Amino acid sequence: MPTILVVDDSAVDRRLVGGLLEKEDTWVLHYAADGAEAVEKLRQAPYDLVLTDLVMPAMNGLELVASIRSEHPHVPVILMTSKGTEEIAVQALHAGAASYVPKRILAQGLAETIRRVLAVSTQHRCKSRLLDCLTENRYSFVFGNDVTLIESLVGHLQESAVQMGVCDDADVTRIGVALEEALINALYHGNLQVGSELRGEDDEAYYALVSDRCRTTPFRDRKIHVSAKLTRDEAVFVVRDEGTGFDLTKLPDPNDPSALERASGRGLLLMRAFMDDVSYDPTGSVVTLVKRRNPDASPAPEESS
Amino acid sequence: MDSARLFAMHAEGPTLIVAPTGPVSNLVGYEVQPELSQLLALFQKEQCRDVLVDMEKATFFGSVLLGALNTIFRQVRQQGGKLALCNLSGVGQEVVRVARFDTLWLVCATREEALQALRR
Repeated sequence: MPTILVVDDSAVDRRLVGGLLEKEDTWVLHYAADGAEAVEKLRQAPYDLVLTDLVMPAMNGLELVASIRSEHPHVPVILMTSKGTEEIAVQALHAGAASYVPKRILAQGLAETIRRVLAVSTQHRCKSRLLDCLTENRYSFVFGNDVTLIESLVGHLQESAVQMGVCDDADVTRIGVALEEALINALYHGNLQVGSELRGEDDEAYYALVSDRCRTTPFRDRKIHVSAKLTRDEAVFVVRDEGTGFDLTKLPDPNDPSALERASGRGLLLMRAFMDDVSYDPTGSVVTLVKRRNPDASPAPEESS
Repeated sequence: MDSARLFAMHAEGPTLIVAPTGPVSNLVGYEVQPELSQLLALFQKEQCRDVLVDMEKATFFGSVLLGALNTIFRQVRQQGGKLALCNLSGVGQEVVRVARFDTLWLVCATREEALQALRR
């Protein structure tokens, strides 16, 4: 049975709302006289939905929405608006409120709005619980030399790593930087065979050559292959290009001070710093990047439940 | 006409202040190059000595921006000046440290600190 918290500083309005909603046998109603009392009640017991007035002492509706979004992000909030509160209602909707009902049409619209919001919320919560049970996620992508797809792919893999609990907020950026370096290497150095010697010396010539090779065979027809396997313990990404490979031993020694200002090898350095393991196959066309779950980060969902 | 999109830039006395307008992904490398040329031209035109790069909005970046910063550094060094970075994010600091550019460039917490360090 869904439990609803009604928040309004007016006892008359609380009674009015109560009268309208008590007709629904399956809803359990609780009441709070302002935002501060609502926050306390939400800390003490789980609620499925909060229905709140906007102008209240102690903590107004906008502040209450912000607090719920932060402490109970899955609890939807419906606003009850009245004349003069439109501006604050817009702010509350931007802050994450799920919907609103003008007080003057509560009798006609409130129950239906609650039913709709509860249905969406229940569906969302079930999906979230189901995804918490996901133990493995695999992806496989093959695409041409299209730089615009790389950004979406990196974002997609980052989201998946977060969903699987492999990384926290800082690590997700590190994973993004490392994947971007690997994919750009596969595209520019692998498929298009544009060496990094030009970079830093003549960037204009470097990108002119990239542009030229994007239109020339065999370079333009080559693909990038990406596979990913994400579990609760680690994320393994494999990036393969269709170029002729490269000799890893020819990369400058990162510890050599004279190599510091050379452009080549900098991407690999970042990959190695931000992933737990980075390895190339003997041809240099396949790189495998591994990120293991930081045991100090938040526990994987099945451990925390 | 100022057509810069990735970097905001203006001269303040002997220092050219450069501020990336957002994260600088490796994917926009081809856009970095023309803006870098514009930046270096402004550095010459305003007869600046140093460059301060305020990284506040560049929450992440990779080897392409590092390469661009190194090109700026080489030009600045040639003219006896210094390159300073400020307001780096946590990951941004790591990127600079991993590439060991913190041994060549001044890395400061705030813009004020960076301006002071450049004056020394």
